[in-house]
Amino acid sequence: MRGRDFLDTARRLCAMNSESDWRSAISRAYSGFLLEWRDALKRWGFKIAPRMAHSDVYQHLRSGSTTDLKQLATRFQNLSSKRNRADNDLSSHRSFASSRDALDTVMDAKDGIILLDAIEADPVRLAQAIADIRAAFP
Amino acid sequence: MLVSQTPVEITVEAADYLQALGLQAELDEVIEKLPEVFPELLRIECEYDPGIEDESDPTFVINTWLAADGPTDPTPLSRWLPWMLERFPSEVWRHLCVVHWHEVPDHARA
Repeated sequence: MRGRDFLDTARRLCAMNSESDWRSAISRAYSGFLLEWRDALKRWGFKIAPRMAHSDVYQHLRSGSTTDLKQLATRFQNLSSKRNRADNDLSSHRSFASSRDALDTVMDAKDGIILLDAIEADPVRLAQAIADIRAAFP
Repeated sequence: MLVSQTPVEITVEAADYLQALGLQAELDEVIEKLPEVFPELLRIECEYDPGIEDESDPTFVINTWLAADGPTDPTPLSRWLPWMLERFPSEVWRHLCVVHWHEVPDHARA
């Protein structure tokens, strides 16, 4: 199984009819994005601590200065903040009254994974991304 | 000087954090830009987020509330990112996280 498989789960949850489904969709979308990038960074030779994936992945992505990495870091930050609210703040939140924001979050996570695929499909872009992160994490 | 007419709320905790960061001017600029990018913007609510896993990534979160009948594609995040990344260095955007939510009218709630 790959992290991106969680996006299929998230899409199914978006089609359900309750707040807990839509909150869970956001959580699964975030996990899909996180795990795809955790595994990519490991493939690229970086050490990601097993129980520190969130912090480690974010630190690595935000260390970069290329447009690709800057976009990914802000996507990560945004998804993380939404996931925080969806999972941990159960007080009434107007947004979770429909599937709209869950659908947006799934799309945003998917876009981040599409960007990962594009980077890995382009040797020059990939080398640039790795070198960029390597400068901060030798 | 702010000219935006969008209602803005900032929690005390967030205001304290923003002052510590020294990013008031940058926040003002974001608040000015948001209605341009999002004509469907209803209001802005700012809060302090200590970080989700180990509280090592505190963030000033700018929650933007959008009308539900706004465009669906691209997503608000994709509409916002180009300006934010072009305008500010990472030292700024890593602290100011703009998160988009849609206001669901009472009659449309599940």
